[in-house]
Amino acid sequence: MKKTEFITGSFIALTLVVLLGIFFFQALFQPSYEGKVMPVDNVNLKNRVSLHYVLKNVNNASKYLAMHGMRYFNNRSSVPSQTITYGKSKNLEEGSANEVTSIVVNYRGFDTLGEVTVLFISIIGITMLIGGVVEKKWIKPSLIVRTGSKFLFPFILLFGVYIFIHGHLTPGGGFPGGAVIASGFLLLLLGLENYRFNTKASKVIESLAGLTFVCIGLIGLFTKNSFLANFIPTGTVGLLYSAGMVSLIYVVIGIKVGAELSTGVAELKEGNKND
Amino acid sequence: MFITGIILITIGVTFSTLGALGLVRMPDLYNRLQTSTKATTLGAFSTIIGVGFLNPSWLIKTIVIATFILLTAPISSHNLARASHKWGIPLSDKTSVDKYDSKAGKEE
Repeated sequence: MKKTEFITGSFIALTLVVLLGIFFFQALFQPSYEGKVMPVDNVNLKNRVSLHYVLKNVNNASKYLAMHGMRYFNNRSSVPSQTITYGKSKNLEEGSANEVTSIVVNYRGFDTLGEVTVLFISIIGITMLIGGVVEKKWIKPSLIVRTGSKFLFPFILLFGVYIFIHGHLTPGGGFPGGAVIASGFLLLLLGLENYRFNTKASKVIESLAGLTFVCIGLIGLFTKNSFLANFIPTGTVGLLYSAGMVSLIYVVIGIKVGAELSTGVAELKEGNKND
Repeated sequence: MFITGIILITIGVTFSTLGALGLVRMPDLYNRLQTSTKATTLGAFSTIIGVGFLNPSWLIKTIVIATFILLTAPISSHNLARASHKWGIPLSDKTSVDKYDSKAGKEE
């Protein structure tokens, strides 16, 4: 390792440690709500945004509100509750039928960007530490396995793409879809003995997908004044073209995770040839 | 339609039960693999198709799922048995014929 690289690396690490320390000591002096529920009267609209969107998706939200009334949800005028019908309701703030995705990708999209980064760093670490260590001495796969893996690979790829395209409608999303795609590539790597995975192309695809994620966030920043804000109109709940940005980001995440995990698996087998 | 579905599900449940019984009863890996493959292939296959018959709007989806199981389960159990044979996992004492043994000159 060169000396300049060492100095730069230690400088970055030191900065991170100092920043984390500042955050830590700041958190120590915050008023704590440990062991007790936050008083309802003090909560403003911004704090109860999750309550709002949990209520919105439950079909009997208005009935529930009428039953329990102000006792649980006081200041009701600020929480416009409405009945959501699958395939009919339009122009909601967040139009995804799978309510989890509206939290994971929309309200906490920045957190998901962090998750993708964590996965990226862990793949780098795995490649660096144990890449190419796996022994290449193995039994040649039989004819049945070779034919089967060739035949099944396109269907596995199709299923992965289906999972992440329908992420905002059904359980699933970008991460499981990407994992299914990577399992298809793993099948080829194990089932065909002279299959070569194109690591360079997958790295380029992965970087482009990551850039697209950040670009979508920046478009939100410039049009709606906050990073990763939903700038696409949300259509009818339950259709494929709904939920605005959520489906777009899930496609990007699916491609990125699929390329990333496949690269990791391939480099476990073949090792990094450039070093 | 309803009766066909019930019959198919009964067949599937019977095979799954027998497969689970075989896992306990059979002496070595290869026999256990044989019974459990029957359970996953025919048991799951006919149960899923039977559910499709009970609710005909799901029939196409269930046929697709069942076809996928029919394609993957035999291949995976074949590969498991082959790998464990090459690895040298012993057969049970009661087995008398081993045609896949490489010493017998039957290698692929």
